[in-house]
Amino acid sequence: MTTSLDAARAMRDFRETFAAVRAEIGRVVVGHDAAIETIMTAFFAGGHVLIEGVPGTGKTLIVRSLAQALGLSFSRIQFTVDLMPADVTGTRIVSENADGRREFTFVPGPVFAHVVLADEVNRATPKTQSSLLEAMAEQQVTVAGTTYPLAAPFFVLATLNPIEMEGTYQLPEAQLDRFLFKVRLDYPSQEELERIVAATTQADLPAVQRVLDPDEAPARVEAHKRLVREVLVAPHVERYVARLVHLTVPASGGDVDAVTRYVAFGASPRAAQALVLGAKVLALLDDRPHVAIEDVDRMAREALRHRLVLNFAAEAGGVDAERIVDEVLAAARRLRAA
Amino acid sequence: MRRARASAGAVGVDPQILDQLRRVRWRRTAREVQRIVHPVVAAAGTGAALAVLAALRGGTLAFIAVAGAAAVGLLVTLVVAIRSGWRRRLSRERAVVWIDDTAGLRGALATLVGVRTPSPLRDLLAVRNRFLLRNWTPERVVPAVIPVASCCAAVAGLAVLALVVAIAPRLLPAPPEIVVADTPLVAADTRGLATRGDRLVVGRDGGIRGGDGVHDGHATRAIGGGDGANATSWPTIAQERIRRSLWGEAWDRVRDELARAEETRRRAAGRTGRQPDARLATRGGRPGSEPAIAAEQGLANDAGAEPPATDEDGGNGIATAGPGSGAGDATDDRLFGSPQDEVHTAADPFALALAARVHTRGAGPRPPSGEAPEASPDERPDLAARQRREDAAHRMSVGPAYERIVRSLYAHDATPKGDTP
Repeated sequence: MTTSLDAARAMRDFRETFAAVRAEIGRVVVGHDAAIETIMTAFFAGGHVLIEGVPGTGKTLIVRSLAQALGLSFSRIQFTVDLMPADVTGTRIVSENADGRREFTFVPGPVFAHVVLADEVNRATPKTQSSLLEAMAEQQVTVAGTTYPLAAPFFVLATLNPIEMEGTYQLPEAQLDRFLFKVRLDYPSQEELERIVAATTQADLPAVQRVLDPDEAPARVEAHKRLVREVLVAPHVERYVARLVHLTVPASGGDVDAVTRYVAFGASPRAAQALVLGAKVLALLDDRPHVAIEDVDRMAREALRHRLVLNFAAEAGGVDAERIVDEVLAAARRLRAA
Repeated sequence: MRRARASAGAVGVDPQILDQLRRVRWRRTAREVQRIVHPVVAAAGTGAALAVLAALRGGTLAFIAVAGAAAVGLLVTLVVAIRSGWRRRLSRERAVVWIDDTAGLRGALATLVGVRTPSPLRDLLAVRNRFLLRNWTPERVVPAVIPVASCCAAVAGLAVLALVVAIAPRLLPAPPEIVVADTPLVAADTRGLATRGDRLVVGRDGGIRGGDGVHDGHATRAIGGGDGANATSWPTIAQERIRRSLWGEAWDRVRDELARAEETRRRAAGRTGRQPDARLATRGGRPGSEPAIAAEQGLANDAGAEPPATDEDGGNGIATAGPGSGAGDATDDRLFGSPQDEVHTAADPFALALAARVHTRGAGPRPPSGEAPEASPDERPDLAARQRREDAAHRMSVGPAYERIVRSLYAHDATPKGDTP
């Protein structure tokens, strides 16, 4: 991409790929439009997604469909309390080579895939969770002192079950921060439920068609991700993002009442990165080479809600993070208009 | 340095875009400057109008208060307008964001101007911005250079000031008509006289009564000496200048009359208790007003019935008591006022005030004097002509024991009733 014509062509290709994948997922997943778009946004932004939803709402189906449509490898790890880090990253085994000599050979774990579904990640011990989180942050795993890079693109979609909390290990805030967005999957509506029943109980189940050729899919996806990062961000948008994140910090003096009363710790700089990256994807989808304030606003809930650490008063008062994010957004808009 | 940075940031931006950006900024700046100037003009006009009104119709203290309030209001308006204008000022960076928001460009222009790193996407954005030029022409983003609301406020403020200046001649106070009473004011019947606010009634006791029976201080306020203000202070000078500029020579005449009225008041106050008779003398401050007052009172000049007045006013034409010279057998030599020192040319207008003193009879009953008036004729003369029939008194015998008592009761002597048994 060297000219504006190439840029326009790349943007159009991105939009077409996104729309095609979205359409393929939509063939097998009924409803959850906003959640699917957020997941795909995080995928092309190069981040990972945490999904919170009750069982049976299509979490696995969404991720598998995404991998199939893009022609990428997919693996699923069911996190349990006895899951070991080696079960995630892989382990070294003793094997004989052609000369008959024994040597340690690394057997890659399920994390070595382009798209990984970490199902009920909060049921594993913190040690096992950490092994996955290192892979998410560094896109590499280290086993017995040897570092093995993960193939790009690497996308982790972890799920949390909001019920059956007994015997779970709640993810620490530092680990939650590593997820670009947090998506909430709600129950399908009655109409969607009817469509689900009709689509999944017939003889011929709908199947996802590949949008990208598996051989060139990783390169194409990486090109799209690079294009996302090249989207232009004006200084006033960067300033707006910084102000937005800063307003979530109680000690910032931002004078947002909900933050002062209910927030123990505000969003980290990763939140600002998530906002900008997500906004860049939305800008490309809107056929713009630059980010607008509206793109940032649309990403605010997904990027900020799991990064706010609420205090006891919020829990006692039944105040959720989304309400606080909304107030922060309103305050940021007021400040911008002033 | 700043200019260098700005020019460095402009690299890669189409000159046509920069030119249009500059025109939009000029247009908006022109509007914002007016949004600063118009409220200030409105406040200045309104404040000046109030100050002029106070200068014309109020005393010095009122003028100081109103002018001070107007000045404070003007200062506050100026500060607020400049502060808000400073907040709304548009630097180039803010200007592009403002244009983006106003024209709905969704950040295209601000990103093009703000992002300086060359890239294919930026080139694409530059191309698209060229097509967006027609969306943010100066006429579209700043439809009206003149802000209507603030402009109307400014015009209204100036109109108020112009109105006050226009009606200023009508606000010229009438010189007070001085009625000097040689009776204590509380006893004088001034009901017929005290009908106008510009009339002073000066009584023998030094009391002063205005048109409504109470001295309203208008005369003393009008000449600026009644509220303790120093005549040489700047408010007094300013007030005087305003009056002179708006009223011209008419104010000079009125001011002289007012000054004389004030002097009269002071002299009358100093004469308290020296004039025995309760009579009123009127002296018109305005020519031609005395006969009307006299007719109103039903009074006539009656110099023979009153003791001669003592002229104590030092030749200022103020009657104090008794017949004035204008009411006697000679013409007052100061009938046309005091001689003036200025030399008038034929072209210069000058004032000629009638200052004749008119002696009138005071209100209230006169004390009895001279021969008693004749009795009124009988209403029934036919009854008076016929003699009244005399009826004999019935007599009755009085016992000796009561004779003394009866005699004492019917005795025609000056014995006090308390002595009767």
